[in-house]
Amino acid sequence: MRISLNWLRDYVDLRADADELAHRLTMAGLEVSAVETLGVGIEGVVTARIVEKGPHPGADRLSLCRVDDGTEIHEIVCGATNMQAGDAVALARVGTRLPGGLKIKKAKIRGQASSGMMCSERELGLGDGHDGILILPPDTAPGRPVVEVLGLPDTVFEVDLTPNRADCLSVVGVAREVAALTGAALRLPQPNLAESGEPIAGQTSVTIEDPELCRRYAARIVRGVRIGPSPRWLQQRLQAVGVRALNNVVDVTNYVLMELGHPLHAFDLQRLGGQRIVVRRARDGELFTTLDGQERCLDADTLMICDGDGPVAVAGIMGGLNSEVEDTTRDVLLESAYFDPANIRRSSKALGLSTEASYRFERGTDIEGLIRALDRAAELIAELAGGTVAAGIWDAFPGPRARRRVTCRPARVSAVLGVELSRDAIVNYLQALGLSAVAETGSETTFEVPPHRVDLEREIDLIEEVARLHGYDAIPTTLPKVAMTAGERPAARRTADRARDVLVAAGLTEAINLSFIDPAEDERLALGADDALRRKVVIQNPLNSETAVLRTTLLPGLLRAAGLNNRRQTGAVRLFEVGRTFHPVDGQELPREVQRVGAVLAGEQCPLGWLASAQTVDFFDAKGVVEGFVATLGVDGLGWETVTDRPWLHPGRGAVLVLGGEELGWCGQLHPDRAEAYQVPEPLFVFELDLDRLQQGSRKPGAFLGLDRYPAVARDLAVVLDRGVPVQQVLDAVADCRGREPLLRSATLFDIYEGERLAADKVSLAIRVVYRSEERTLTEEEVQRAEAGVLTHLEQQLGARLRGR
Amino acid sequence: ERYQGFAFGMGVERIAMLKYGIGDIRLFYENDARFLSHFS
Repeated sequence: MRISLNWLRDYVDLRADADELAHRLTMAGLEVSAVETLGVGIEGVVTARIVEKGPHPGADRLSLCRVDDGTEIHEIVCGATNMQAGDAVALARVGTRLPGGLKIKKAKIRGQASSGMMCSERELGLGDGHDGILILPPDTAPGRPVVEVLGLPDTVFEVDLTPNRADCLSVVGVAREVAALTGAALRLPQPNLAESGEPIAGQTSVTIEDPELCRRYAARIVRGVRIGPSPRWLQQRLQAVGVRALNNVVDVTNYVLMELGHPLHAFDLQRLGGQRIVVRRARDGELFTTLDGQERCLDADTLMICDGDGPVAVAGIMGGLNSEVEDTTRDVLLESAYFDPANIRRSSKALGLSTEASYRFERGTDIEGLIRALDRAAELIAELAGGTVAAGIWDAFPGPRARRRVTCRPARVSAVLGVELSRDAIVNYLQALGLSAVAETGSETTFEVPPHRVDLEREIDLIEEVARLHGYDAIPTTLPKVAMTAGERPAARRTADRARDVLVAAGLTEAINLSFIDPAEDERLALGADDALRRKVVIQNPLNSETAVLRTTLLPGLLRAAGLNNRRQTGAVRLFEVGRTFHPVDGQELPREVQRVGAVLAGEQCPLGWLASAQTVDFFDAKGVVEGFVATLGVDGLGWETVTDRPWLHPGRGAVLVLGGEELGWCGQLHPDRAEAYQVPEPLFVFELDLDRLQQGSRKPGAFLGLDRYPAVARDLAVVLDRGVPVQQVLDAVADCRGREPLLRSATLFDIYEGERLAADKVSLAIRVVYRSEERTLTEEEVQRAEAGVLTHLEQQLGARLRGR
Repeated sequence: ERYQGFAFGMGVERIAMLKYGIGDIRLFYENDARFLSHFS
């Protein structure tokens, strides 16, 4: 929004200089992003009149003009073509300096003497126009400083407004702010109309068919106008704020738009069928030509201003070609209305048409102030274009509402801002903005909000206004006081930290993936149709189809990462992830969230080197990582069992981790078909564990038991049993013996043999069993007795026999 | 009125990009194992 300070001064005294004012406005939330001075450096340029214009004797494209500056006639050579004899121009005589350092000298141009220069906008530093020289209004007297005639010098602020401050999209709006900030008095334009003739009720009518979209429509009529150019002062003001001047009537509507912030429209009354207005929605597919010459296709959500025959304007956005004011217009109908902001925004977008008017209607205009705008425009039109204003306003106002009221607690203001402010101080600030206190109890005050402040809805909005006016920079800086408590990381976090540390120490790298996955991963993992993992939380407005659901397993992310690394040949795949999975629960709004750890492993066990053997990872590497991690948690009673229902695992090459009959996780080789789908190297090993459950089962180390003082005896046994018996069962069976054989300390598998020296369906397990007593050194008989007990138990339980028997 | 606080967003990845001179934010999400080797 461009604001001319000269214009602003009409409504409020500016006590500060431009830079100070710019700073003040910026601190109050109206950011002044640029300050331009217009008309500086052109003090020596004077007004002059072209007495005669003729062709340059020696050059086709140039002309020779005789220009009268009020004292003498100058002969000027000029390259522009937009001027004629009789025009008033801006003349820089010999010796005058112009912005940019140019000094005018006597010159000879193509053999012809030229003493001076007629200036363009750009040469005067007033704008970019340099297609021709600046032409001043015809009644301009020669010999005056051009700055006087142009209302210069002027300072123009470029104000960047936040979308909530629709009330500042006008000179008066900014003047209000300046008045509130500086305490200066605000002088609103007070239209003083001379009405005459027939009352307006007999001359036209306004019917609103859609009062939701148009809550008020006010009209005036001005008869007998003469269309022509606007006076200099009005043109110059419009130019200062970036609006093009067209003719006096249209310029007045634009002037009032800029001055008061309310968009108006002028219709040629004689071109309105039935000389009346109907406000209704368009019909789907209806065609209409706007005054920019473009034909538009409308829909039934677009509000139209119509006459007795059909549409004459797109309400709040742009008028039509069929009703606009032309050079021959004599009678004008002025529209000042209030349109529903959301609807105008929608229609503006649908039509791809955004105007100064639609911009303001979208943000909310002043439904009461539109009368002042209407009167102001009628007054100016009568003054500048002649004509008489018909008596009265046609005011269709279907549903007036009471002004908004907001209650504010002074105590809360002080609490939120951190500055003690008295109730009176708060009331003063708000009154400066046009609010009025209408009710009072001990602890709160109710304010009535003026209709131009559409952005003030709640107590906190009022608190913000107090802060703005008081000055954010006037609020003292203090550190927040926070009650300190000794915190500690929650157990879930500690477990996740432990997992990361252990897995990094095992040589894996942490991967982090999004919790959102592609529903198509279900197919890539070959989940069964009834698999519980298919039930997922679905995201309502996902960014794209690849992030549309919440994951129920860490696999997809890890497998994709493995695939990416494989394609980029980054080396062995050793990635893990600690993250949450989300499982919908019937009857509950929120899903169950489970923290899990997952990993993928493939490739060499160790980086390439001369001492390490080049082995690729296998199942037992993955299982070892799991067991190493789990050991650090101190979970008792974990065991492995064969996996049955994980469709992404290679059949026969996986196991589930079980605690107390419940599955806590699984580990295995990825099925070759899945490996192909994800483009990962083979063999790839994966595992996933339920960290929350593991953490629940973990116990702190118990009381210290003391170190063994007596030597242990280790005996190796080789037992033969049926292939297919899980080793875990054998070791469990040995452990079971402890009850009867207290000397038993541990049993460790150290070899497996199958082959020629055994029957085809048998396998031999070599187990090292350690025996120890806390009280004495063991004798050979005691050890043999214990060993016999173990063997007997193994035979009874599993049919295992000592090898060689 | 029970809880008051400050809300602000901090692009953690973007700050890391500035600090370490990383040109493409997607590198943080790809899990390319080579990414971390620059920081050891």
